[in-house]
Amino acid sequence: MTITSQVRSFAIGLVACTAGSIGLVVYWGYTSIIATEQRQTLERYGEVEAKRLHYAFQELSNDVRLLAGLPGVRGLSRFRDTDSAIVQSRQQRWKDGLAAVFTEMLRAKSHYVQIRLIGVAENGRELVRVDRHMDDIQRIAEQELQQKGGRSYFQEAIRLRDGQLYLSQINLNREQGLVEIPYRPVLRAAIPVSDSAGEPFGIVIINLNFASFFDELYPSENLRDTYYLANAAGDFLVHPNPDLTYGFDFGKRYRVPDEFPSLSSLFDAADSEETVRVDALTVATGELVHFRKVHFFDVDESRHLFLGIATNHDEVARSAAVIGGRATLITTILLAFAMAAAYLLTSRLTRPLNQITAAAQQIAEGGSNIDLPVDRRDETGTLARVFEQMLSGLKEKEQRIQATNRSLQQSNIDLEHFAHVASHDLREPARRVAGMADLLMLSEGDGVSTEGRDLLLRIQGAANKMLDQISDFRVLAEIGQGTLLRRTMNMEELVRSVLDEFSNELESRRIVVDVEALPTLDVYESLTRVLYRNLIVNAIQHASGAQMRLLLTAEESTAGEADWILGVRNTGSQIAEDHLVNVFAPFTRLETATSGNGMGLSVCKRIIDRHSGQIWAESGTDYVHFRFSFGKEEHGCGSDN
Amino acid sequence: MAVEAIIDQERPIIFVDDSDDDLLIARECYLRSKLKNPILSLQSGDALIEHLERVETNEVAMPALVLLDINMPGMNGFEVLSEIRQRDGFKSVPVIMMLTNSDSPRDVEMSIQLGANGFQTKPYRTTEYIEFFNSFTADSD
Repeated sequence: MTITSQVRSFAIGLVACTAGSIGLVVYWGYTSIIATEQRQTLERYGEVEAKRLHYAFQELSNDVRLLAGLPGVRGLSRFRDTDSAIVQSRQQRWKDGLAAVFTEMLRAKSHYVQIRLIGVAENGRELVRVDRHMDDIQRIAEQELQQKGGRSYFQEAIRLRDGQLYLSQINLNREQGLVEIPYRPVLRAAIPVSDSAGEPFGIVIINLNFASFFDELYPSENLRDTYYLANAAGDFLVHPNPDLTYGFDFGKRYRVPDEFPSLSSLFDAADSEETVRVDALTVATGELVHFRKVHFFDVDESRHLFLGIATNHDEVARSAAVIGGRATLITTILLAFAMAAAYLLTSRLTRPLNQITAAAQQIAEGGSNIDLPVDRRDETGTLARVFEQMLSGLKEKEQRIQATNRSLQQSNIDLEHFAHVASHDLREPARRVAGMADLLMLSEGDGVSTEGRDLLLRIQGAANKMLDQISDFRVLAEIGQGTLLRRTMNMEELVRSVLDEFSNELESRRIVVDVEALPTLDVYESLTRVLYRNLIVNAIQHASGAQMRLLLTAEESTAGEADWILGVRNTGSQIAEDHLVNVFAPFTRLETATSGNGMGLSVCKRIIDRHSGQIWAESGTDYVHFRFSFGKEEHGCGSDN
Repeated sequence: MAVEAIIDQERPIIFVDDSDDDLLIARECYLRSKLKNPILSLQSGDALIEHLERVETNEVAMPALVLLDINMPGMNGFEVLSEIRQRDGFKSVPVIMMLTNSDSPRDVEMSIQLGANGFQTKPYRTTEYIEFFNSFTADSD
């Protein structure tokens, strides 16, 4: 990925991450605060509601105490003997009085269903009893008063000491052992009464309809929240689903930990309050359930109930969703702006980088007029200025090289021109000298003295040598020019035409000439002529003896491609082994040479070099064999270069 | 390049060369050859043109052969050749042969293009020179 993309991605990513993190943190904080608020509110509320229940129980116990303290009760407790008629009538008055009070109390407290005074005599025979039947308050007649000595509430209450309150369990009322329908949860509160001797006389007992008692305290119509009530063991006494209440009365128990497992600490570890969140989708939603221990008595902490309040916070979810939606939308828009800004800014920052990159590529491709950000103060500016320097340095070097090239080319031209002119200008006079010497020999030769003849011959020889040197020199100089093209030549024809130039010489010296089968090759024609010419001249000049044999050889090479090794072989001369290598150096002359200028063979070597070939000499007893091969044409060497 | 024409032995052969020495050599070799034409030596292109003008007016005979050097001061051989061949009457005669020091193929081509009948590098050896002249006679092979 390019640096530009990397920087952009990084910037955008950073912005997105930061925004996202901030958003998450804020959201988390907000919901935590809300959740805590909810919890605290509920707990405070629970505290208040629990207090109300507690006071209601207080009221109950006060009522019982009040009744137990009535004069009537005292009076009845003092006089147990029922024989005396006065006592009996007094007892009757006291009973009536009590009944009236009981009636008034029942009227006042709509959830009391029965108030009784039960004596220990006659196996717990009710002494006074006032019942509430629906809306009717009735005093039960003497004849219908029952014996309640066997009832557990009586036995337990009578056992208590003076002043101690008896509270029953709250359970469903039974008639003849069966649960009364409609269900009627009952709470009995009793207080023992003792006679003047301190012996148990009886109990005062109030029966309370727990359902209506609870309902009066927490009327369901008024409540937004859900109320629960459980006994000390955890069994539900009040529950939004009535079927789940008083399970213990039907043999199946339904307890708080069954519904709220996390609240089992209330019952196991004897905590007095606990708040749990149920069905929460998020931290601040779902249902918050608070359970609180409520004591019946201030003093005695053994009897208690658990009041539970559950508030539903799903509305929080809805409003949170709305707020969240709006926040997300705003955040997204801001984020989009931030990312666009990041993109633009990074583009701005990386533009000079791209500029430099493009410029560098242009430089590499050899362009000019390159756009560089040289005015910037940062790293890209430095880079740009350095590039500029490099560029101008390069241009300068290039110009210098071109200038050098031009002057070299000029030198070459001058040299060539010089060589050409020099050799040409040298040739004319040389030729004239040779020509004149010749003429002199011709016209005056007979009349000249031997000495003079000799001198003339030497003049001729020297002039001719000069000419040969010049012509070889010209060949040498021309070779490098590359103005020649290879042509496909029939070597046999070429060789024979060169031999023709020497026909006189060969005839006069009676040299036997043989030409082997020569191939057709791609060679530089004129150069090859010079090559053969020089080799033949060399052979003629170096060979002595009458019966010289000249052989133009050809042999197909075994090395790889079908290359040919051609050669010129003569008898009548020999080259020492250690001289064989040196033979091609210019101006090397061997002692056995009778004539020649020493340049011929070096020219041959240059000609073969030009053909990218090989040339070497072999020699043995009475023969010398110059052998050579023509290499393959090099690239681009075929035409003017 | 040798001219195959057998030239008329009556008409002159003209040598055009600025160098005394070359003219001398040529003449001496010529005299030793089989050719018997009268010879005329001129030392510049202008002189040749002048002479040919006199040929035009029939003051003198058309030469059998002109041997023309290339490197001359003033008008060089090519200029002379070109000038001559452009004139009416001289487009195909006389027979003009370049006789020069040069052996460059370029010069050969140029000569042919400009209308020369032949090109001969001045031979080194007198024997060759004499041979050259003999080649214009009937019994050369």
